[in-house]
Amino acid sequence: MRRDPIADDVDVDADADAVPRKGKVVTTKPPPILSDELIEEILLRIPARSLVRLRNSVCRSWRTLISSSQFAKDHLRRSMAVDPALTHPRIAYYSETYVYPTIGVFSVRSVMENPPHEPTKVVPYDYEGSFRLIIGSCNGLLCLRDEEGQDGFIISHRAMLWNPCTGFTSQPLEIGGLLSICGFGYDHVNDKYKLFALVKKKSGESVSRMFTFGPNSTWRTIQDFSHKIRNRNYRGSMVDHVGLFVSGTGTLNWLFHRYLSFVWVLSLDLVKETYNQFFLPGRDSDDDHWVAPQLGILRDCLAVCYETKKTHWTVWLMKDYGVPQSWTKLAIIPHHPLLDRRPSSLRPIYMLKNVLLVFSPCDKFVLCNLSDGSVDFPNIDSSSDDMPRHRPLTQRSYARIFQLYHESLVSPSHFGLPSCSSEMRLGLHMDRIISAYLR
Amino acid sequence: MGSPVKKIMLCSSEKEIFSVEEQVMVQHSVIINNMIEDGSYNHEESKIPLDCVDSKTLKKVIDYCTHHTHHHNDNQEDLEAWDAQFLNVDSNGLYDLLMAANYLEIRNLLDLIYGTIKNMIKGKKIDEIRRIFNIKDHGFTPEEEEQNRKEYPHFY
Repeated sequence: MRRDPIADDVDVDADADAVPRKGKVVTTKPPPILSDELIEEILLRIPARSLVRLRNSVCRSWRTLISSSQFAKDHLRRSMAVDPALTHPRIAYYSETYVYPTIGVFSVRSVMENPPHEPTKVVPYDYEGSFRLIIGSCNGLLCLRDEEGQDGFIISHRAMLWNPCTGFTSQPLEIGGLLSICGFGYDHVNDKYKLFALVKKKSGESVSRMFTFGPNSTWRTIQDFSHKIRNRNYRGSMVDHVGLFVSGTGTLNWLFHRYLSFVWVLSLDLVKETYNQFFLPGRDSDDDHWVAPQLGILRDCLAVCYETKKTHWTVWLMKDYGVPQSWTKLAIIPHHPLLDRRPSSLRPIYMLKNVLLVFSPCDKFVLCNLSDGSVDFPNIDSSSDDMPRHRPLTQRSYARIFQLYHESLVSPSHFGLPSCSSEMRLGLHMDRIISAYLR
Repeated sequence: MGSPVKKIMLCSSEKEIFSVEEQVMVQHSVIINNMIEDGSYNHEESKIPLDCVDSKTLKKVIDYCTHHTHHHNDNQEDLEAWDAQFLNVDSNGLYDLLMAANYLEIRNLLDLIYGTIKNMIKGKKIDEIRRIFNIKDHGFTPEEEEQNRKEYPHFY
């Protein structure tokens, strides 16, 4: 399958050598010093991971600028709006089947390009300590879960934030029980990162709690989630226990169905802490069941993908969040011999121009070219990811959980930026990092 | 014969006067567009003083705006090639252009220059970046600088 090349971030032919070095041209005046405002405009255009490198080394004023939370926000906004070279989106994953899993990270660009500009290489982030897995991501932060055990039993879960680009790691937040249904997102009104969790307490009782990350993380009990799903009209099975965050709306979203014939989305507003329900797009009359529906985020909108008539998958986009009339058919993905495991669900991951990246939980990553209907299976080099060798990423990725995130400099505003580099391995210097924030 | 092309006068820091098609500057410069729109420019007697832009830089800015006004229908590749040639200047010239484009608010030229500067520092060592930005005093204490160099020797 042919795909359009992705414009390179840097024009190789137009590198610094194209500009004559100082000294070749005789100048009579001293070189100008650029104002802070112009320096900021330049730095806003530089990829987040390069800024991490420049932050502590160039000069004090750059350090102050790049470390400010306002700059991190402006940079995120800009890189999410304009990133033709696809420098920032990455995919993090871990394996559920491994006792001490490594989190692996690779760039979306290398997956979307054919032939790839560089091979899709997995960068492992390993750590010592307890089992951690990814709950969700938002603004470049990943929310991780780990557990506290006693006598071989898990007694409680903890959650923490991690920015793989800057190395920032927050203090763990005590859940006070076991997490079951949960979701991580950003409350854009109050500028707070929040974790919703249905917490199963030691007594067996379940409570719905909203946690807010901060130097002194807080939680409050909110309207009961279980009550919502026990409602007579909305009683059904949950497709995925982890809610999907739709950026800009401040909502977490869970997909539910009853015998696959009745499917809906339950959403939780992180700002107002209220619930809402809405339905999926209408189906063709001769399809009496929804087959393997999956939620995803494409172009910042909620998307749903399900199999239709045993011949293809249909991808829909909810253009105006929460407005069922705005469901728009985005793509048809025809069946393919390599995707014939049943029931086959495809999860939409990313979209660039006319190429859609989806993930088949039983199989692999799939690239679908929407203009000619062709599909492709990108090669992902996971030779260095320390995952069990008999299950390389390119073959069966079963029990691996993938999370798209957008690299950023963001850390919750009250923490400030860490003094460590992006090469910091999570956990190895945890005490040092944490004490650096608290200083 | 149509009506004569309307011109405006721009005055560089060396008090040299440049006469330019009004439409060319109005299309590209937010500041000049505003001046013409709100009537603060008088075609009989006004000259727009650009005290922080020297003649050499002003001439280049005018070249840029003129070319992009008259060739905006050219194919993208030709325009990009022209832009690359246009920005083939030394870093002082580039910064002068940046400050002029910023002062006159010429957005497409600003984006072009920002992109060029970004490319200049891509993959560069810290010492080179300091040179590019003419940073003489990094402001770190000798201990901090030594610590940085020790911690990330491959950056320098």
